[in-house]
Amino acid sequence: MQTLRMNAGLLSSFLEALKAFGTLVAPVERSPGVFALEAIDDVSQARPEALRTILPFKKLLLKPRFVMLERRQGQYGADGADNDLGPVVYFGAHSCDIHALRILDLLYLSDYVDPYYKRNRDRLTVVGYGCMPDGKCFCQSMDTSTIDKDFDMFLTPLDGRYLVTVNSARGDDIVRANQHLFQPATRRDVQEYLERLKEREKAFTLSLDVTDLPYVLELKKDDPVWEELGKKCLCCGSCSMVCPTCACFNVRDECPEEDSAQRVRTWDACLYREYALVAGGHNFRASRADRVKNRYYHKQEAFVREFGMPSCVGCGRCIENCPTGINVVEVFQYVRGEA
Amino acid sequence: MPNGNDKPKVGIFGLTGCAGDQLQILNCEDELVRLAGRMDIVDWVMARSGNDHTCRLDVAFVEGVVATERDLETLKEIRARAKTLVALGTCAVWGGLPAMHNEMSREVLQREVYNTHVQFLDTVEALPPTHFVPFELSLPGCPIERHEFLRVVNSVLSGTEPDLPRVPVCWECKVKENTCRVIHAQEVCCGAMTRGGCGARCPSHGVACSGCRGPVEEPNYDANITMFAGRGISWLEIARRMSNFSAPVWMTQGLEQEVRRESKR
Ligand code: SF4
Ligand code: SF4
Ligand code: SF4
Ligand code: SF4
Repeated sequence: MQTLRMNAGLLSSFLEALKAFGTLVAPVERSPGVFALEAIDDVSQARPEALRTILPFKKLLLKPRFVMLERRQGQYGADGADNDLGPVVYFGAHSCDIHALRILDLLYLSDYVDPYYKRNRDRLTVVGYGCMPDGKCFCQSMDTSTIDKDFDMFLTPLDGRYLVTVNSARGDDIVRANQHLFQPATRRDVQEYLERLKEREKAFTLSLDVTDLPYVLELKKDDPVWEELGKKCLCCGSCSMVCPTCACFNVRDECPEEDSAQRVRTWDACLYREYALVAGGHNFRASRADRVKNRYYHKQEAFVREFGMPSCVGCGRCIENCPTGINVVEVFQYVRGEA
Repeated sequence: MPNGNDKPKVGIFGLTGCAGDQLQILNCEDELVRLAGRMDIVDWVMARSGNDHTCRLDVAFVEGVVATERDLETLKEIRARAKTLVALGTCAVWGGLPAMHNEMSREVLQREVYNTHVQFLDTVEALPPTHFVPFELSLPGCPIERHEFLRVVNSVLSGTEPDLPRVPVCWECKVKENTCRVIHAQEVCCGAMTRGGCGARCPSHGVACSGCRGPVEEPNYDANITMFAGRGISWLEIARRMSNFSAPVWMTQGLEQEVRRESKR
């Protein structure tokens, strides 16, 4: 780990320099207050301070829909590289995003390595950016509000400059190739960084009580709250689509043309009716209530049992994108009988 | 499915409707030429002459609603001839636009549109063909999506069952990262109730989904309606926005009563 400083005025030169390491992807403002991660050429479009993009970085690793295998007449199915996104530099990752990236790595790279994920993951450069929370962020409660690993570089904005943390060999390469942009960090930089941390700690307004949450959920398995939520939820799947750690997918075979077949992989969500539908027509979660419940139980109970931590990083995307206002924090308050 | 010289026989039929789905098939120009080499379209009044109206069909596509006695006869004949029957378009699957005003009696409609002297109409309440006979496959859309039609045809010709996505429009809308019409514009967007496949065409152009593709399996109408009302939209506006393509299906779900209640106030 290396700590440097960079003048704020050099940000665009830095972003230009990042292009040498892959397609530069950063949050851009789609419409007022609505952001999306996009490949950018004009670096002035980058809005790294934006708290959340509609879809998280997971789309840079697995496209929402891609062809896994393609078979043309007389051939065997082959990987058409549809999901091969080439080297990508992801600029503007916040602490919660990087924690979510680690969760995806756990899911896709531990027992069985997903080759489609791995190919993009190996070539992903992560350049983080320090944020200030809004009323929908609760990463502090999820213990994901700070990060000290799993990124290549991290920029924390200070007055007129950035504190730059370098945390990987690739990060070192970027610095080495652009020595003129950086200087060693001073004690004042570090001091201001620490002050900013404190200020940020105080800026959180939303919190989720996670004390014994898996056990509380175990006790509340048959609580009427799930029926009520099932009545309210549209099962539109938006919360899952936008969640940086929701990782389920569906695989289907298609015949788009004569003598061609494609095995297609798409993002899926347990909120959808056909998700738990199996051969013979049985549906393990036929009721809406069971499906909504599953989303919360998977994140806060099943995942904890399996990996020792929840799979929610408190980014607030599901809160922001639920059309009917279902709010994960309120749901758990309700489950505890506090609201 | 037989191949070689024994090409599958296909028929394409329109009952009462705008023929938009058949037009979509014609629009598949290049693909259609290729498909013609693999199947024999033997009965398609809209596109060819010299049709065989009686032979057995391996696959038959039916567009439009049953709105006359004659339609019902035709439908039953097609069913009897076809091994695989495919409902084409929202009309055929759900009733669509022609079924929008089924609450008005045929007599009133006939009088208002044609006056009372007209003799030739054998009009009945407009209902989807799927209401009368069993279908093997259905392909909603107003009109159908060409890529979905081609996938269905190619799957059937390859002897497999087409597996089209059944997720709501919101899935595609999120993939496109559109600004949500409900959240950011307080509009009545039917995306969460409507079956995807259109690529969220309307929300991608800044227009709320009007539900032209018909419902997903088990849509949560009540929650949607409550959500719109909770955002300050009047019941009348909700009803107006929802009384288009899929009105026949979701108007049965209680919204109708709410509207009546409001207009009495
Ligand atoms: S559950 Fe919601 S808050 Fe938690 S990580 Fe997913 S989108 Fe973010
Ligand atoms: S099961 Fe549901 S909550 Fe869990 S990752 Fe899959 S879609 Fe997300
Ligand atoms: S976004 Fe809201 S309405 Fe849609 S599935 Fe998630 S909780 Fe249900
Ligand atoms: S605009 Fe409509 S289709 Fe798109 S996410 Fe919102 S409710 Fe769903």
